[in-house]
Amino acid sequence: MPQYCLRLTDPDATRVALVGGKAANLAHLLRHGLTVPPAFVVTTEVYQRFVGNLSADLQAAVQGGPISPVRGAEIRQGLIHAPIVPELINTIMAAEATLRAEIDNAALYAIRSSATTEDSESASFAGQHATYYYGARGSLLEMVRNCWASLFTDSAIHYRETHGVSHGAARMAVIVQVMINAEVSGVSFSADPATGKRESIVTESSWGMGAALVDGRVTPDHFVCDRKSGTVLSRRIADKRVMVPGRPVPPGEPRLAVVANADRRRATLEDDQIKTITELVLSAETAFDAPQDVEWALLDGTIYLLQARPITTILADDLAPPPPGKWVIFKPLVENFTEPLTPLAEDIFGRDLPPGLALFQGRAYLSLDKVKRLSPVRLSDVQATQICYLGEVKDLSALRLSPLKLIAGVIGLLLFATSYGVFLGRTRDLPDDALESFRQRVRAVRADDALGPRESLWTLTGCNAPFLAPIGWLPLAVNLGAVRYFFWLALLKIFLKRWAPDLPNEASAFLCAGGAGLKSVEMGHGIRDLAHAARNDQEVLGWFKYASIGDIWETTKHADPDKEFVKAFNAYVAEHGHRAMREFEIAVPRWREDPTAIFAMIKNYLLSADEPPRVEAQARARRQRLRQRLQRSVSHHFGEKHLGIRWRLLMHCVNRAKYFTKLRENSRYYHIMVNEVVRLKILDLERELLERQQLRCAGDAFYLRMGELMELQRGDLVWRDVEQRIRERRLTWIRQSKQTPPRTLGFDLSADTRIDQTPEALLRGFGASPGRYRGCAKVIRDPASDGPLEPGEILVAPYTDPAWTPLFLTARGAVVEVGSYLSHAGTVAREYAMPCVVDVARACEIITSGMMIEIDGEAGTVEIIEERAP
Amino acid sequence: MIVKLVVIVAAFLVSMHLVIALYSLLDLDWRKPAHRAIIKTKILLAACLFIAVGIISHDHRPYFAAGIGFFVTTHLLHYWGLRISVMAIRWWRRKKMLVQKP
Repeated sequence: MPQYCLRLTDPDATRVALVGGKAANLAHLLRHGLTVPPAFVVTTEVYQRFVGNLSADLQAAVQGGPISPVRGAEIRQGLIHAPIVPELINTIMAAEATLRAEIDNAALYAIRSSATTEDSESASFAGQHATYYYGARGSLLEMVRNCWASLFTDSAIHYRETHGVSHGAARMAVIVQVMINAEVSGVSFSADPATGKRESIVTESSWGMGAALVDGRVTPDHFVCDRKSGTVLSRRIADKRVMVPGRPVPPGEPRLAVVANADRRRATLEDDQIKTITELVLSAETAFDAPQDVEWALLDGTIYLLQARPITTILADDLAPPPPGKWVIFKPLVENFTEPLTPLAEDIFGRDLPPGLALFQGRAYLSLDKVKRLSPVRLSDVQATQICYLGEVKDLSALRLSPLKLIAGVIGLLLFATSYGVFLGRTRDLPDDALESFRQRVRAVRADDALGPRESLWTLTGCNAPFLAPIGWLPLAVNLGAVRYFFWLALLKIFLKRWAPDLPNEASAFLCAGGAGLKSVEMGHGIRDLAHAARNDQEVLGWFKYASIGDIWETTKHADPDKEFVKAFNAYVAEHGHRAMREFEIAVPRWREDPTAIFAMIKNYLLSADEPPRVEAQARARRQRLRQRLQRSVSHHFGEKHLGIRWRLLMHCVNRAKYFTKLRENSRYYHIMVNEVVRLKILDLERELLERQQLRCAGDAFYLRMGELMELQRGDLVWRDVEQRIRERRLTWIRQSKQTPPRTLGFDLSADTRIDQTPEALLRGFGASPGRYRGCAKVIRDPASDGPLEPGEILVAPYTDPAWTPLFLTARGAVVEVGSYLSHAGTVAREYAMPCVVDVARACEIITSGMMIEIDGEAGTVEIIEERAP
Repeated sequence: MIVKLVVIVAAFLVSMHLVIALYSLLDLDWRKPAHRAIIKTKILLAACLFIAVGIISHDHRPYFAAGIGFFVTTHLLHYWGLRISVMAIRWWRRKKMLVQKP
């Protein structure tokens, strides 16, 4: 007797061959007393009988060997248009009627694919097959057909072929499940999917239904709970900009809705709800006797389990293979690539990278092979990596000079110096506002509709600048030219060692800090001034005390524009609004579009300190004392009292190093305006494509390549062609963003190279700003949501960019996972004379808030003194 | 020979600084007093140096001219070199992409 439709309570509903992996798992959960929405399953026998009625040609294709994309499309069309025999139709509709009769309001369903090959331990097939929400009785059959057809999407075919699953073995059942109008949805893992750790239960949740979360359209809240006690060990409340509301959406209205400002940074789950979810996930794990990845939905206080499957983790073989050769992550850019670039950003910025640089998994890598080929000394892989990544070699005597390459190198250097001498000379003594004219240039390019995103990038980076282009058109070139900083600093160190050996090692870094005109510091001062303006106005102070960040933004928008705070805020946004967190990524909104980060910084400042600590004054005094000490040391040398040559030379090196550090930081400030223009041009194009229904969802453009966007604009591609690509690329991006990028590709390094960090009491990195300080650590992953940072605490962060500068006003030290001496964290920390250690791998994981740590900015070490501050 | 070489190098350097000083007219804003002071200093100093070196190396005029010529060549090399290298990188990337992604 054929079994065409089964309820999940049916004894046979756990047979994978009959109901598919997903339905079998749900039936299993139900059997263990867990709450699952009522559902019936259209079994694989229906699918097989339906396929049996197809033409012989299609049947052979479905059962046969490799399927090309064209053949896949033909099969899909065949499955969508072939007739279903009346007997099957009647059975399905009768099952639906029975289910509907059981539940008063059940007129709408979630229709989910449940293939026999999916949700197994070897392959999850996550996101490969179709799911439809809010299906009504009238559209049920059409959706069931679409689920069958989704067995032959390009990605599902590719997935089966790469995982060695025969096409003929795959059969599709369909779950017809009562729709849960979720208030909050999420995914929980009974083991950390990234690390495999069994002690933690990880939960990610967002508002509304789970589609936005699993598609990667929203960054979810992230909770880590202790397996035994269920207590929340860490929480990250994300900025949830969009949601898929838990209600049917009228035709023509976009499925994705904007989250109300008040809810964006509000936690989606209370502690007791997290605890309940943790218990449910553990029950699911017990039911299957293996770590589980569980999708759930919260409605009226009840948590429904929608899906459970074994954790297949983030498998390395899901990601593209690395390029051939040996590569090391490109240090100067690493702090800008803490998350991978989206495909569009990668396409736009990666296309013209010089040979030797390449993007892999959205991150920039430097070719060691090319470095070794160009180097005048013979280098091993480890030595080349030490130079590229650490900027040092442990044993200089071990290096062997290559005379031929040395001669070629000197000639090359001379050629460079002579041919680029004019440009180097032009950037030698620029006033602080010399690049200000770039703003007009940016405005002109923005207003020029003839220039697309790529052309705008090309024009603004100066790659096709005319012969007599002013320096204000070339901030990128200025930025590259400012690397001369290294030369002056190295020279200063040599002189100090020779003429003032009694000075501490960190003297050079202290002497080279300070000085007006650093844009990042000015931005920090701007936030401080805004906080003062807010403090002086009781009404504004009330906003920050009692309202959420989103509400403050709304209130400011509608407030009296002549109010002192509002005026100052608008001026701040007008000047610095092109900046953002992760500002190299064009998919990230700029402060001008979304200034909530600015409000969060002001709030952090207001909450953390009534009066700013006078760090800058202290730093100035310290530098002054050091200069006096240096002058005394140098004055003992022969002839110095009368001629002062050594002192002049030292001061020249100091001034040059200071100037080029400032030039590098400031030119980046202007250069980053380019990314805003490129972003706005992309948004213009995306808006046009959305209006023409060529794209369906805002933000999707960033998951296409520039050529594909152009083809969509010309009509050579349509939405159906790119829909699956966007989805796959989003999921790939999520997988990549959850992985720590490998620091080397194509070879392994021994542990003594300091590239890999082990969780010991002494963490090692690079000293970016000298000094020692012992204090309480505060881990901040997002300055907009993880504050406040109390005065005297040590900031521990995954990376820093200008959005973090205000935190340096209250911090007494900083530990950053990525970066180098010239990174933002180092530059600002030196300005404030606070110790800073950068490139401390996994610092945010190993150090937790409240730990007592001691940082040594000279040695580049972080020592964990006590697990908890006394 | 050494004198001739010194003249070539000096002519190269001072003509470079004169051009850098002239570029400051383009790079900086004459209306701003701070910028104006920098422009004036740069041009005056570079022009004086250029004239002085020109006068001193009067007896070696062809080598003085060679130094200037060498500077002009390298400056053009900088501009065209940059453009050509950018074009070459684009060509190389495109070629590579064609190979990898047919």
